[in-house]
Amino acid sequence: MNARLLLLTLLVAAQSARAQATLHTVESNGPRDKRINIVFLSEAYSAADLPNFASHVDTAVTYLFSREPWSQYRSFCNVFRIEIASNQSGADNGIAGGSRDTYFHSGFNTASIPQLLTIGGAGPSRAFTLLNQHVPEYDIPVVIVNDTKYGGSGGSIAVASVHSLSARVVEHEIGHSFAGLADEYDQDYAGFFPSEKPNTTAQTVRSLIRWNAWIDATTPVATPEEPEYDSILGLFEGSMYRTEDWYRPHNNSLMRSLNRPVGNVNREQFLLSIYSRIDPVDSWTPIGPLVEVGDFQRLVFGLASKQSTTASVQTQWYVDEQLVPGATGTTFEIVSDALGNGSHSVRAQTADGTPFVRNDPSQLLRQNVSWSVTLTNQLPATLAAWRAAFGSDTANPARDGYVNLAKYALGTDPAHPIAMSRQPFASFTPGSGTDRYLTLSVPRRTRRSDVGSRVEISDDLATWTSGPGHTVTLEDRDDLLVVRDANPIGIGPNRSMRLRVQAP
Amino acid sequence: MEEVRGVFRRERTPLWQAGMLYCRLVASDGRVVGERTIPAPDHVCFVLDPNVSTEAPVVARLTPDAPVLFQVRFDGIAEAVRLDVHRISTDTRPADSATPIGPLLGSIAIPGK
Repeated sequence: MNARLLLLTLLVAAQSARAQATLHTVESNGPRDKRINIVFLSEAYSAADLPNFASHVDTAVTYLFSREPWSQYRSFCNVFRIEIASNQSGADNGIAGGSRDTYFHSGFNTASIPQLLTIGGAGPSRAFTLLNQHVPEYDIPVVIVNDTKYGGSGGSIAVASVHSLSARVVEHEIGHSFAGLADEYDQDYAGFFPSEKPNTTAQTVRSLIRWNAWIDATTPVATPEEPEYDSILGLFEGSMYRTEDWYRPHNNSLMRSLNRPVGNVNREQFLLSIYSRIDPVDSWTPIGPLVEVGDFQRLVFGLASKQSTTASVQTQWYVDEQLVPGATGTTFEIVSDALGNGSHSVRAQTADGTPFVRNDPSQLLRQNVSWSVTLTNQLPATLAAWRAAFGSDTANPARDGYVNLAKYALGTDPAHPIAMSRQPFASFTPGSGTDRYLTLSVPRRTRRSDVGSRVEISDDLATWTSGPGHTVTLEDRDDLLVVRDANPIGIGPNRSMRLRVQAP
Repeated sequence: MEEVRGVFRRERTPLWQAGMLYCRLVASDGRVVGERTIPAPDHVCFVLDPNVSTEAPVVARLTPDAPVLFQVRFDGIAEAVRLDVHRISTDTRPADSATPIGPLLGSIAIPGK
């Protein structure tokens, strides 16, 4: 799908990018429209330093995919890097100090906060220009600043330096820019207006806390900031730049301190954010939602779903909204007779049953793919239905010598004489030397499970035998049974073969 | 407005949180012909420095001191005549169109319309 992109500029005019940028695919796990696209842009790398960018990205990527939920959902992501050189290395107010001439105009000490590293001036517009040119399907843009001073920032584009903690900063910042997570800091900063977020709230009534599903019934609310509660979920006071009246779910998570666990609520939100953008199912067949069937067919429905490393994504098939027991694969096959004439539905429900998510009100972790199937010229699929439609087993309304029960086994319409091509026929199968074997081929619509069909051999038309020493099965397909005599012709008197159909 | 070619996905259920921006394309007859939500681009976060064991609270302005730039992507919708940008003030999306979403930050005419 081609898309028109609307570039909205708030007061700052976009500036053109002049330097030469190159795109590199770090990791590709699928089409861009079906994956989360993470894009790293190089900042403050001189041409001489630019070769280091790849390893800096690899460090960040390796760390991110060691963390949850990313480690289990790595195959849901593509990773790219856009390399562009700056005139100088290092950011403003960075390790080298002073002002630097860099492509995205990065600088520390934004708003007088030493570690607040942002891109400024024409930097954001240049970043968007490069993204539009190279990976317009970006989901998570990250600017890596080639400066070893500690720092980073969130916003539309995450920014992190190459300090040893840089990879952790990237994870924290995309918690904001990708997952909409709030800082769980409790330092009281004036001028910031807190609001309800997935991981912050002013709500203190247990049943109304948005992450209540994660709080054990024995955990006190509010929850003391004590070591015994450090690894569990609760309602800890102090969040979103407020010391009082605003609460966080974790005592100390990624959104509060680096080197800390992600936190279950944050992990849940990361995963919901992934699924808010991409479907669990990549593709399916038939592609269209309408299927018309005018003759007997084996109908095959299939889908390709994403899969986590824990195989938490599962599929269940339904026919006419009835669950089909055991139908949990990526393909579902059914003979058209089994559906019967008229309109029917076939539906695949794919759902990620990961324990990482307990709150999914929009059912983002679930996807239904449905087909509407209209069938004509179908015959009853069971003997009981056959009898109900056509009468007794011995009836022969078409007067062609084939009784109803035989026609059920063969799968031909009792109302009409059986076509030559659908009749069992005899032939000879060559053996070793001059040996030939009497053979009976039985075309059939499908394999029946509720009647017995057996090819028998006789030399006197009185005693009929079958099985080892008497007959040899050459083919036993759904649509064809071929059986030959075990003994070549010429031994003994006349040889005869028949198809015996037996109802229970 | 800029046209780009890419392999874009259809939108699933967008995130809806107070503070995010809600962008919608509006046709000349007032119909909403496209909508997106994006994280607030002007809420700058920074990470506390773990190298400082007891980081002292400082008074800081957490909104940027300069205009911010963001972009929002829509399918090509020929009917759109303007883009409205709201700051979401509700925790869940209102079920009806009459309930205010939040303050209107800007309304920008689509060039050529």
